[in-house]
Amino acid sequence: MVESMLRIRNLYWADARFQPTVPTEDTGGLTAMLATLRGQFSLALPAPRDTLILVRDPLGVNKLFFAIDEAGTVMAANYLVDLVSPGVPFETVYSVPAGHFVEIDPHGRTLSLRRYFHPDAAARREAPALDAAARRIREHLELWFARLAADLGRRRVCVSLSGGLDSSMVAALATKHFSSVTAYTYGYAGSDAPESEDVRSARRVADFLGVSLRFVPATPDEVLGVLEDALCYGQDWREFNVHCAIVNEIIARAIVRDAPPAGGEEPPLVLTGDLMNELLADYAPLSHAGREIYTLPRVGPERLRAALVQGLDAGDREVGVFGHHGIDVVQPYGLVVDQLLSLPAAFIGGEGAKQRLAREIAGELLPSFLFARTKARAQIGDATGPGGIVSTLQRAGCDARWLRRAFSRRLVVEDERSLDGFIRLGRYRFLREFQHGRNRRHGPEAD
Amino acid sequence: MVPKPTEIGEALERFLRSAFSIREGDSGFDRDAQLYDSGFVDSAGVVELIDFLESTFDVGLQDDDVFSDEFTTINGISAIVHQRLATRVSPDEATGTDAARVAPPDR
Repeated sequence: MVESMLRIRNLYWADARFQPTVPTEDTGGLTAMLATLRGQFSLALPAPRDTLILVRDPLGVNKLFFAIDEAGTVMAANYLVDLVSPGVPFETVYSVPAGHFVEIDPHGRTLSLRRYFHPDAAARREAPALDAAARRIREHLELWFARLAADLGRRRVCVSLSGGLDSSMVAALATKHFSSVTAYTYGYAGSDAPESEDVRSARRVADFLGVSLRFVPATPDEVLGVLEDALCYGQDWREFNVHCAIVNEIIARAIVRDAPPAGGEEPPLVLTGDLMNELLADYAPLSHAGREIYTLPRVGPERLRAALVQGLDAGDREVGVFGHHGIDVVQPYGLVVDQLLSLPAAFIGGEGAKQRLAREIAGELLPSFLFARTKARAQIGDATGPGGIVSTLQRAGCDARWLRRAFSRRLVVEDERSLDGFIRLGRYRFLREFQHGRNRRHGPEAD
Repeated sequence: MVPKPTEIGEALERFLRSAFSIREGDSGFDRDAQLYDSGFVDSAGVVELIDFLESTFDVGLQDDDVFSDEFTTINGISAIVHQRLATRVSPDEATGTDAARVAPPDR
């Protein structure tokens, strides 16, 4: 009844319990249990009366796609490519939205979609003063890092260190809780570019923390060489996510090159500072070569945060990209989602808000220059000099329209226009009711 | 008083033309035009559109609304907003109009 192609490992906790069994006997019990889970997971659970329950984590960190064929077989996968490659039409692939579960009765031809996680509920809670809120966030981060060390500490632990505040705070906490940590940082390696400011910042942070830094340079040819995998496993064609996926693809390849996986060994673990920008609405459009890139809605910080958090549903720039190399990713800020979302608008967005909060959370763990530093993006490099992924792609003609076409080719999207309906309002396409007659599998296996 | 769908549509059209620089003479743009597929509103623009609707009409839109097939045209969106407003007031009030309430803010 279910053909599972779920190959991204699940990493979730119910309080201190690592990967507890999720009950499916009744939806009330399931909903109550899911409300306690934090972490990242995509589950396909057989349920009573020959039904199937597909569950996705609260923020949509792990992806969960499915299609139902005419025989009633549900095919579930983390990667779109795992469905379309054997012949499932792209147009019949749906996603389970973040924080939801779907109950499918393929024979009775019914489907119900239910939400178990409400980001708004966390956001509406009254928050204390900034210092008290920061203390609470720090306490929970310490708790989660202790859990990560206890349950995953035997692995080779890497931190993706951009040189910014978010990843530096993760590196600092990782250094505290894990016995050995290696920081990885990407840098553009064109002959025309000196080491960028973000790489210099990453070096200073690594020195301060006493962790070894592995600098991963990439030439323009290397950037273009990973583009297809970034599109395919980053599961998105939109510029920001593709550019981030390229950085991660380059780092993932370096991690595997440094220590190829050995039989029976647990996979490497990468900790990243991702999600903090979404949870604090700390994004701004960037200008590059006279053009605005990474456009954002012109709305207030709370509305922007809600949109960015919802937008985590679509795009797989970290977990998907590292995952296809057999590397697990944990984004610790996603584990303190309740505490971060409870911060009121006054604490998020706006000039210096992130720095003020980060200083309160972990000021003593980080070098002081970080709090005065202007944000730089790894995919752009030094805003004042040449180099970076954006420039490389522009020079090669790989603009937004090209990325759409390339994604469509790779994911066998027959009508490129259908991409507009595939990601809408930051969410992958989802189903509210069973679709009759749209679930046919075609291609070589069915012909 | 709940504004009529046509009044909501007028306000929404004015907002879209202003916020997304849609020319008066654009022959592809009318109240049945597909806003997203035709490129009038991009993914960031949808968030602004929802923000406009919720703040102008004091209405809370749900997932069922914004992910419905109807939420793709001005007429469809206007019908959804009207219905949301009408279901929270008495049936008598739902037929009335209040032009002042539907006037969009200057941008």
